[in-house]
Amino acid sequence: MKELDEAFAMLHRDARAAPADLADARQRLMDEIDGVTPRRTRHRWVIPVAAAVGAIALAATIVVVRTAPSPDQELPLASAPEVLNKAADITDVGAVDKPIKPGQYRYIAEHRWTTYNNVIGPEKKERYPYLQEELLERWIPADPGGIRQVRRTRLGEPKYLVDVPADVAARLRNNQVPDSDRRGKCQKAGAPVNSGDFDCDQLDRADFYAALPQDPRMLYKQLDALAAQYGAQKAPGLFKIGIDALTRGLMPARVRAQWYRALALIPGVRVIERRTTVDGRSGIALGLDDDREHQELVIDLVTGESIGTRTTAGPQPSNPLVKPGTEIGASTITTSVVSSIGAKS
Amino acid sequence: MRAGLATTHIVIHIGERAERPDLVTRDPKEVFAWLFDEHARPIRSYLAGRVGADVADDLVAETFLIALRRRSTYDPEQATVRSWLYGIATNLLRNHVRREERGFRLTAKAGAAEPTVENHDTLVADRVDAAARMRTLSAAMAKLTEQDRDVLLLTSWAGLEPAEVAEALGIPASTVRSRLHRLRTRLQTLLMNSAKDAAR
Repeated sequence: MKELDEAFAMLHRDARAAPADLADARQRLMDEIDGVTPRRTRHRWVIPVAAAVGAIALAATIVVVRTAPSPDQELPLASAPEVLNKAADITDVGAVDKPIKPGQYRYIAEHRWTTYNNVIGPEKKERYPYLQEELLERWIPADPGGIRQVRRTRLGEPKYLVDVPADVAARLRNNQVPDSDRRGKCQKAGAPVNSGDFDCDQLDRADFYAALPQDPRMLYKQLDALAAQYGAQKAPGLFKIGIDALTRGLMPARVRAQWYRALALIPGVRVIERRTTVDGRSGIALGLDDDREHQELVIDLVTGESIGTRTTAGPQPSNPLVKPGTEIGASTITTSVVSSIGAKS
Repeated sequence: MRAGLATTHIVIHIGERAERPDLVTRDPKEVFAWLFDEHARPIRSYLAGRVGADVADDLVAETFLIALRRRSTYDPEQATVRSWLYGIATNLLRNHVRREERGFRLTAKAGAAEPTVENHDTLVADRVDAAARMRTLSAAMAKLTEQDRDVLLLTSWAGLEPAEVAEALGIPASTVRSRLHRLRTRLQTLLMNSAKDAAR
C-alpha cells in the first residue's frame, strides 16, 4: 500500500512539520508542578472579575481555600453554564474511571472543614458552633452488598465561630465530636438497619448513579425531585444536592458530564473567581447564594473534575450565632482504588 | 538548559523503565520534564496535522497538564506512557471535530482547484499523481468516523503500533488490527480507482 502511505505522508505535512513553540506549554506544566498561579493563556475570551464578586470570599474568617493572588486576575470563561458545559465536554472526552475489580474497594478521602455545634449546659442550651478540620475516609466495596468502612479523624484543633468564655473552654474540650471508625453494610434509607450497618441515602449507592437518565433536562428533573426529597429550597437546594452528589466520590465520569450539564440549567449560579485548593489544585469557583448560606463548587477546567467545595454563612445564617460571611465548610476529595478495606494505596 | 539537565537526570534514574515509568512515586518535576521533552514534539506534530498548528500548541499544554493531574490513574501494566499520552491528546481532539473535518475538506477542495500540470516528465507526473491521491485521501478522511480517523492517524502520523493504538483508545488490539486492515484496504482501493479515473 505504498500509494496510501505516500498520501498520508503528504497530507497536512506543512502543519505537522511547522516549527513548534512549546516553551509556553512546558512552562505551564512546570508552573503547575511548582504550584505557581497558572499563567494566562493566549486564546481564551476573558472577562475581568468584578471586585464586588469577591466580597463574600474576603469576608470569610478562615482561609480554607485560598484565592489566587494575581491582582489583575482574569477568568477564562464568561458564565457558570459555560464553565459547567466546558467541564462536561472535557469529562466526556477525557475522563476515565479507574475500574474496580471484584474484591477491591473505592477509597474516597475527603479532607474537609465542617461545622459542628458543641452543646453544653444543664439543659443543653449553650451552643458553641465550631469548625473542625478532619479527614473523612470511606472504603466502598465493589460488591454493593459488601462491608464498607468509614473513618473520621480530626486534624488540628477546633476553631470556634463564636467567642468562648475562658471558664467554658475546658468543658468544651471534653465535649467535641470524637474520632470514629466503623464497618458495616449499606442499608437503604428507611430499611431496618442492623447494628453497625450504615443508613445509606441514594447518593451513597452506585445503583443510583447507574439508573440516572443521560439527557441533561431529564437529569435536571431528577435533581429537582431529589432536592424536594431533602426538603431543599428551589435553586440553592438543587445546587447543594448537585454538589453533594459530586463530592460523595461515587459518580462515574459518564454521569458526571451530564450532571454538569444539568447543573448548568440551575438559574442563578455564577462564576466567583479562580481558586486554588489547599491540596494545590486550581480551578474555577462557581457559586449560588441564598439567605442562609453561599455554596461554592470548584471545578478544574483542565481535567473537568470537581476538586473542592466551600460554604460561607449567608446574610441570615441558619445558625444565628454565626456571623454572616463566616466560612462554615469546605472540602476537597481524592479517590482511588485499593485492594483491601482500610488500605490507602 | 533546564530541559537538557532534566533529560540526563531521568535517563540515569529510570533507565529501562522509560516506556512505563512509575508516575505516582517518582518526583513529578523530574518525570514530567522528561516526558515533555521526550514526547511533546511528536504529539504536537500529530495534533497539528489534525487540527492545525495554532490549536495544537494549546492542546499539547492541556495534554501534559491532564497527564500530570491524572498521573495516579496511569497503570504501567496497562499501557506504555506514550500510548497513554496519545490517548489523552486524541481525547482532547473531540472538542475540535468540526475543525478537523473542515481542514480535511479544505485540503481536498484546495488541491482540486490547482491547475493541471501539462508536463510529461515522469518525476513531475508522479508528484501530480501523489498530490491527487492526497486530495482523494483528504476528502475520504473528512467522511470517516472520529474513531476510524484516530486509528488511521495514530498509526500513520504518530507511528503507534496497533497494540499501542489499542491502549491509547481503550479498545481491544484485535479490533484495531481488523479496523486498520478494513480502512486501509478501502482507502487504497479508493486511491487506485481515483488514479484510474484521472488517467481516462
